[in-house]
Amino acid sequence: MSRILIKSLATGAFVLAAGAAWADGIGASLLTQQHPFYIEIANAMTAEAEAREVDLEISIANQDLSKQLADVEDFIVKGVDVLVISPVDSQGVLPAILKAQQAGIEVITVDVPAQGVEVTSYVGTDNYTGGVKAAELMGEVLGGEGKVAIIDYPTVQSVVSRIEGFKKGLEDFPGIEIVAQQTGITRAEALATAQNMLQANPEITGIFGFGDDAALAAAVAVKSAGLEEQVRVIGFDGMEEARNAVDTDPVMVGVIQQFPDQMGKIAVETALKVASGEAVPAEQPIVPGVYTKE
Amino acid sequence: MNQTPATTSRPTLDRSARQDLFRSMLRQYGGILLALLVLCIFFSVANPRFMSVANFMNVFQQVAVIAIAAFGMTWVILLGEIDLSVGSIIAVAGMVGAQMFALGWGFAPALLVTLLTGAVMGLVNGMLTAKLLLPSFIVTVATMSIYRGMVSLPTNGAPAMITDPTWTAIGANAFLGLPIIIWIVVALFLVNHIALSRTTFGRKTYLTGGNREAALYSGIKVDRMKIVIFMISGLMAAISGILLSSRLYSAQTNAGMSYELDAIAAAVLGGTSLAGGVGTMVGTLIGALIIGALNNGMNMMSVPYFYQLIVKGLVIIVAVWLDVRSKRKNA
Repeated sequence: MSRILIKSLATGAFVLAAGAAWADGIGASLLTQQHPFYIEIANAMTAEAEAREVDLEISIANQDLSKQLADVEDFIVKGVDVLVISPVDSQGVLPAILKAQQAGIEVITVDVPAQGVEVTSYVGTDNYTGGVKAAELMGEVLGGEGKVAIIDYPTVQSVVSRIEGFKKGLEDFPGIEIVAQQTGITRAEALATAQNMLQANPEITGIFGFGDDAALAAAVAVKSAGLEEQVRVIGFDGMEEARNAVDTDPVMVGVIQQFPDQMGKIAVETALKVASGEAVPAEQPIVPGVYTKE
Repeated sequence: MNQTPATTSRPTLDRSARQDLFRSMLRQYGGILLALLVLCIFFSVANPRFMSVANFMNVFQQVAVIAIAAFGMTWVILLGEIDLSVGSIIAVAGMVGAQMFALGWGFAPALLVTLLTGAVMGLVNGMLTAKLLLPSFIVTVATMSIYRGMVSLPTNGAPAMITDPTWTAIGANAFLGLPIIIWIVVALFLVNHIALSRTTFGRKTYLTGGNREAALYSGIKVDRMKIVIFMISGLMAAISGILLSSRLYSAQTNAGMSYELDAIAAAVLGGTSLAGGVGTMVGTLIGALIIGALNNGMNMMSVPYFYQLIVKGLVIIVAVWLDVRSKRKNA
């Protein structure tokens, strides 16, 4: 046993002495890989990095801020040039970003902005404008009259902006009244929320879900309440499942479509510009589109 | 029955005694140390930066939260019990601290209340287990859910920022060139190690875990012992929670999710028997380092996340097998 120990120690020392070429390139810390939106961001980043022949490594924080910090610390030790990060939590990401910046690494945030610290650039959907567009669609679909409910997620800044934009947009339609606003984060929760809201306010004619999950759940709730003729649902995100629902489901009248592929591509482009010393804008908002039935 | 740690009987160490000590250390930890060493060498070959002082400190800091919770878990497992609520207590501790600061409390009182909260949560686990005679597995599955729910009450699920400079300094600053977190882990390791290997309380723990009947007949108050040990586990979890929230400058409601499983894995990797009565703090510390080295090393190798989960599980199985095998061979 002890001979093995000594031998392995010797190998270790050799390896220690031989070490030289450190990795350069881009490190990306994404908050999850269990959502199609983030899978598209990751795929777009990988594709762009391959096209530009640059090293890109992606770590998945799995919604755990502690893991995100550890991932960033590991990137620092590895010595990446630029850190692309989609924070698990806008505020809680602060120590991770500070550590990277102290190590001389430029930081670019994607999708979710960081609060309390300045980063080199932020690439993300213009959620407020998206919310306004959702309101315009809602007003059009309902003919300017009706009662609307909102399914929200109040602790996420991007969702708060969507809801703010939606409410601002509805101000142009004085005939539309918001009668309920409740939280439904996962699809299961959103389903219960939508059912409760329809139970409490049977006169609802429109539901805005903060994300695809919320909207798809709302559409199910509308059908199970037998209100297909009365209620119209609009979502936000516009991933494939929701777009298909818009194509086939009469209740789902439209979805605000984010462009994760653009987001991932621009993030890598920006990282490369930063690495070569080029100036980049501090904010790069991506205006979402509106996906409706043809 | 139970295996008394090598260090309990040590008058003056002459040469042969020292050799004996070395041999028994090797017998006890040889397998698991070998596993750690193999991992380190493998990762160093894959990325030479793995074997650097900076990265060693990195791993140590990342594993601190698990290691401390695992110290508490070791006590519980030694007694033949289990504590699945530590992950939730970790989150509660951070949130309690954050709320104390939000109320304008200073560092010392906030720290005290946080530690007390952990101890009380452990007390509840212990009382339910010892007095109502419920299996600790079920009790702590239940309190895991209860404590996790309580975390979200003050902020309605949102994270709470912590700006107290002393609290955040714990996670960010260094003392004499070593991060404060590492000092804390080392100090807590020594306290737990000495309490377990050099005190009557420690010996009683081994005895009770190894043979409950014998312990009862020899006059050990097993109930009180259980309660105290669950309180130790709660206290350790609270300290872990303080470190985690200081590293993150914030209390997250999902903090520490499933850390109880990592803590159990660390203890078992370190040779702690789930049947009770066998295990040491040294082993648990090595076990925690293996988990930390694994997470960090696979990141350094850029292993995709989902493969990391698979590899982590496989390595735990192989490491425990190596350990069991080497003990069987040396026995």
